[in-house]
This record gives sequence, C-alpha cells and structure tokens, in this order.
Amino acid sequence: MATAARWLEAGLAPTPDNLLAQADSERADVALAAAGDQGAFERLYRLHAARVHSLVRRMVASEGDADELTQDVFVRVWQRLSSYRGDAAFGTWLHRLAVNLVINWQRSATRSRRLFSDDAEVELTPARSRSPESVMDLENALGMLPAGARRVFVLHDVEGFRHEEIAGMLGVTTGTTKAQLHRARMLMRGHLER
Amino acid sequence: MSDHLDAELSAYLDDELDAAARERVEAHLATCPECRGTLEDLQRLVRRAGTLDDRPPARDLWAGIAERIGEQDTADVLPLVPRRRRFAFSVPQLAAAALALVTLSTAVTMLATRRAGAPATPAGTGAVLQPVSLGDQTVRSYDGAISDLQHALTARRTQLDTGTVRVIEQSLTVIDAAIAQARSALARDPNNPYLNSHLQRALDRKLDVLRQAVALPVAS
Repeated sequence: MATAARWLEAGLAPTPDNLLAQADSERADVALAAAGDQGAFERLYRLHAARVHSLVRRMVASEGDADELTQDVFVRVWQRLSSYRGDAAFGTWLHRLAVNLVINWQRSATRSRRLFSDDAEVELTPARSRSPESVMDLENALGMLPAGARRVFVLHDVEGFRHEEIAGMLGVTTGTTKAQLHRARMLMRGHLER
Repeated sequence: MSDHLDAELSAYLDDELDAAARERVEAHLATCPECRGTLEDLQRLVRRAGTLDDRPPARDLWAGIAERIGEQDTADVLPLVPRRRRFAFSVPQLAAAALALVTLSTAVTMLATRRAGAPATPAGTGAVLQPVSLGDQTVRSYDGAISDLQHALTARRTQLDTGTVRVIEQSLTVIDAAIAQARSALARDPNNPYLNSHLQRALDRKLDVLRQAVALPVAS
C-alpha cells in the first residue's frame, strides 16, 4: 500500500511531510527496481496501476485492450528504468511512456489510418454503441467518441497535456487537435444530454 | 439567432483567443442565450473530465507482468539524483528526550565530520550524490541513536494519542522496510552510491520520525 494511503487510512491528511515520505519511498523503489528488485517494481505497479489503466482504457475504449496494453506499459518501464534520469517525476515519465505506447499501438498495423490524417474531419464511427437502457456517464460517453476525437479529449481535458504536446505526439498540427477537441466536447455534450 | 459560435467556444474556454477575438465572442455571448448555454455545458464537461476518478483494472495484471519481466536480466543501476530531504524540527518539547538527543547529536556530529572529508559538492548542485558508502562505524552510530530514541518513545507510548502512535508505527514500518531493502541491495552491490545514499536517507528519516515522536505533547 502506498505511504500516502496509509496516512489517509489512519485518518490523517496527506501533509507535505507525508507526501515527501511517499515521494522518497517511490524514489527508493525506482532505484531498487532498476537494480533488479521485482518486489520494489511490484510496489510501483500497485501505486500506478489504476492511473495507467484508466489512462489507457480511456484512450482505447476497450477493457481487454487496456489490460494488455497496461501490461505492455509496465514491461516497457521495467526495460527502460535504466534510462530514467529523474528529470521529471517518475509518474510523469511513466504516463508519457504509456501515452506514447498507446499511440504507437493505435498507429501500427491497419488500425484506422485516418485517425492520424491531418484533417479535422475525423472518422465518425464510435468505439461502441450506446445501450439504450444504460445510464450515460462521462466514462460511457467517452467510449462513444470516434477514436481520434476521444484520444485528443483524453489527453487534453483529462490528462492535461497542451495542444502543442498532443500535436507533437500524434504528428499532426495544433489546428487539427483543436478541431478534434471541440468536436469531442460537442459530441460528449450531446451524449450526456440524452 | 442563426449565426451561433462553434469552435470559438472551446478556444474561448481554453483562453486561446487574442483580445479582439475574445471581445467578439463575449459580445455574441451577451446577446445569445443558446451559445451561453452551450458554453456552460462545455465548462461543466471540462471540469468533470479533469476530476475523473481512476479505476484499477478489473483483474490483477501483475502476474502477467512478473512473468514477462522475470525473463529479463537485471538492469543497470540508474544514476538518480535524489532530492534534498527536508527536516522538520520541533524543538520546545524535547526535554523528555534529552538523553536520546545527546546520542543523536553525537551521531550527527560523526556524520558531519565524515562528510567534511568527502569531495566537495559542485556549486549549485546541492543534491548531487556523494560517492561514499556508509561505513560500519557510521551505521552503528545510527543504530545506537535509533535504539535510544525507540526506548524513549516506548517509555512515552502511553502518554500519546493512540491514533498518533498507530500512524508513527505505520510510518516506521514503511521506513524499516526501506532500510531492509537498501541493506539487502547493498549486500549485492556495496559500493553503489545511490543505494548508500538511500540507506542513509532512510536512516535519517527514521531518526527524524523518532525524534519528532518523542517530542510530541502528551495527549489531553
């Protein structure tokens, strides 16, 4: 269990000291994992699994693919721990790696080449159709977005990346990401209003 | 009104418009309830998107990961630069732990003396690792100081709030685990600078927690 979670379980707020202890604990686990300690790496997995899985699931809108890709992300992290220099927080590095892995996965093979077309008129096919009796919450509405619009919405509005960063990751212009984002928001609004 | 705003609404919401465009949008919003309603919907949506809760995977994925990484060779030790740790002192109530603090001071003095002989830290890089390993004598000094403070804490245990004691013990458990891991890793790689630094920081943290614990006021 993460240190901060322990403090919270004990009924205390995560004070700066407590958070510092968590950061130290994570930093130690990163070093130990890089030295080959799988126990330390499992603790890092437990600490970040929900965050990474949620990010991946929202980007691919498929629980099965999200499971597989989350495993791929952590295996890749294990392989690349020696290249982590500590310039950014470990979580930031991990999430960026996850985003890039998902983008490459979507880009590979024959998956929707039009997604990466530098064209604001993105495909309109939703990842999944709406069940008429389902209660539409934000996560469900996300799953109904076309993949390109969903990805930009997740990266910008959920993950907080800037348009310049997203455009760089996707290899498109910021004009495209802005158009995709607005389209995604309007579609989400329509889904949530029904 | 038939000429409603479209993409400008998102740009306005994200503060990406220049002053002139912003004025035009605001002038339109002042006269168009439909566009105001759309903007409010989008504002709500963006707020909600930014506060989505993370959900763990429905099944535990660790077994599959462990199986795959188990086939890998041990990675190189990474050259991390640790952040300078921050001390939080609580001075006024230390009388009850005076004896323990004397011992602590001795340990700290020995460490300071040891550090004085270490290579100088480059200017402006205060947190750069020192390529030193903790000697047996230093570790014994830490262990002695920790032992004294633990005795002092045990003596004060009944005077402290039980919830506080629980948190302290949980914290010490975490730190002890870190110390044990660092020692275990150092047994395999005794001259690794990060692991030595990590062990020292973990020992420092344990001293810090114990020192503050013995200085806590009596529960009312």
